[in-house]
Amino acid sequence: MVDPALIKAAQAGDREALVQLLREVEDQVYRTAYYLLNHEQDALDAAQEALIRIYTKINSYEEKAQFRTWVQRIVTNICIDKFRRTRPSVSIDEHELVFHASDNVEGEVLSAYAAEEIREAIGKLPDHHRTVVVLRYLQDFSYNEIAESLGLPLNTVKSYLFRARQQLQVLLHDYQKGGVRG
Amino acid sequence: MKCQEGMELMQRYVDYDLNDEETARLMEHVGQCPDCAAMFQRLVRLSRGLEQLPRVSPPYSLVDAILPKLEYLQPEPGAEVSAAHSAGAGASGRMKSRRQAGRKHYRSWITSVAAVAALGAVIGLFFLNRPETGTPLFSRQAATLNEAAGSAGQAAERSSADAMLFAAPTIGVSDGNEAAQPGSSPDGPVRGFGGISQDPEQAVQERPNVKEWLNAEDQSGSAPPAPAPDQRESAPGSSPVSSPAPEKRDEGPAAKNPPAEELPAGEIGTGETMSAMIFPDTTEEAVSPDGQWKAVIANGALQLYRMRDNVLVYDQAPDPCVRSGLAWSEDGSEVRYVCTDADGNETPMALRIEEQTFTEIRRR
Repeated sequence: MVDPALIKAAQAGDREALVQLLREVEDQVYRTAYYLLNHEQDALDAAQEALIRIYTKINSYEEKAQFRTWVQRIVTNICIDKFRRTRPSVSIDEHELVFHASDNVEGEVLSAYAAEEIREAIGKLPDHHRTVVVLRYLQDFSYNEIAESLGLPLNTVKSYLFRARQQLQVLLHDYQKGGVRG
Repeated sequence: MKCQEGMELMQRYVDYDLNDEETARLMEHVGQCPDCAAMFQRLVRLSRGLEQLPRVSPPYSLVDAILPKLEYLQPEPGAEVSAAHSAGAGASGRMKSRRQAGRKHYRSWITSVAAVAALGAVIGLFFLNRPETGTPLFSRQAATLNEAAGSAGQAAERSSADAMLFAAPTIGVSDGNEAAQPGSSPDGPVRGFGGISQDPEQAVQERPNVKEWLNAEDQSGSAPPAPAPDQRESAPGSSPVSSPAPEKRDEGPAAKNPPAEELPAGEIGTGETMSAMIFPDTTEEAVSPDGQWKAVIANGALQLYRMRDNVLVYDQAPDPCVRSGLAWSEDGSEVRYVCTDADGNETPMALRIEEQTFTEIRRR
C-alpha cells in the first residue's frame, strides 16, 4: 500500500518523493507486464514505459481512485497496445473453448499445473480476458478493483474472468493431454 | 439448482465471493451432480495454480534504469495548474524542468523560439551583467534522450546510406525487434543509444563514453580540471582562480544551472520565468555532410542528434562557454565551432565523432 502522503508530496513537485513512488510500484508494474506480455524483454520495456508515464502523469491521478488501480490501468493499457502491435494475429476461436465438463473426466490425472503451463495458457487468452486474470491473480484485485482499473462494468469483469478461467481449463487440459483437442 | 447457476457459484467461490448460504447451496449441488463436481474440482485446481504463480520481480531496478531519462522529463501539470497557466501550460512545465532538474531542454526550446523571442531584451541585459564565471569547462555527457514521437518520422526519412551504416533494427521504438533479433545487429553499439529499453549492463558496455563521463564527473567533483594554460595566458584580465560555478556540478540541480545562481536571491523563488529565460535566443543547426548527424547549438551549448531516429546522442553539460558558428568538416568526422567565454575570449573548438563516441576538443 503506497503512503498517500508520498503521493501528495510527489504531486506537490517533490521529485524525490515521485521517484520513491515509482520504486514502490515498480515490482507490481513489472509483474503485470510480464504476465500480460509473456516475454521478459517486452515486459521490461513496457514496465519502464509505464513508470515514465506514471512520472509524467502523476498530476492527473485523483484520489477518488485507488492509486494501485490507477497504476495498473496505465501498465495494462501500454501492454495491450504493445500486444496488439506486435502480435496482431493471435486470436482464439472462442467456440473452440467451450468446456465440456464430461470430457475425459475419469482418465484425467489431477496433478497441479506447472506455472510455465499456466503462463503460456494465459498468453493465449484474448486481451481483456488475459488482463482480468492477471489483475485478479497477480495483483490480487477484487472485481471492483479490476473494474476500476480497466474502466469496465462490474458484470463485464466477472464475465471476462469466468470465461477466461473456462478457457484456461481447456487450454491446460489440452496441454496436459499433449495435443489439440479434436 | 441448475448447473448454470452452479457454475456461476463455483466461479465466485474461487474468488472468495460467496456467503455461507451460497456456499452451502453450491456444495449441495456439487454433491448431487458429477459433472459439476468434476468441473468444480478443475476450477479449484486452476485457481490455486493461478494464485501460486511466481510473483516475478524485474532483474534490475527499472527506476534506476530510467532515472537518466526522467531528468529530462517533468510531470505534466494537473488540471488546476494548467488552468492557472492557460497561456502556456507546456512552457511552464519546461520552465520548471529547467529550474528543478537544472538541465537545458534545448529540444523543447527549439520548438518554442517564438515564445522566447519576446524576452530577448531581458536576456540581453542578463548577459551584459553576467559576472565572470571562469574558464570553460569541457565536459560531455552521453545523453540518451529518446523521444519516440520524433523517431518514427525521422526513421522514415533516413537515407539509404544510413540504412547501410546502421543495419541494426530501428532502435528507440520498443517493438520487440531488438530482443527478437539479437544476432542480426552487426553494429551492436548502435543499439546502445536506444535509451531505457535494455539491460543496463549491456547499455554501459555499448556506451563506453558513459563510463568515461561518469568518471569525469567524479573527478570534477573532487578535483576541478585545471583551466587550459594557453587560455589563462591569453586572458590576463580574467581571474581564472575564482571559478566556482561550473565545477560544482555534482552538488545538485541548482549548481548545474550556473546562470540561475547568478540571479539575485530574491528572484529565484519567484523567478521561474527569469531563470528559464536567461539563455540567449540563438539556435544554430547544421547537418553533417553524410546526413547522419545534426549538430545544434542552443543557448550556447552543443547537442548532437542522430538524424535517422532523432535521438540526442550528445548533450553538453552547461558551462560558461557560448558556442557559435557551426561548420562540419568535409568528411563529417567533426563539427567545428567557436567558444566564447564570459570575457569574450574565443576558442576554436570541435566535437569529434569517432565510432559512437563524441569528444569535444580544442582546435589548434
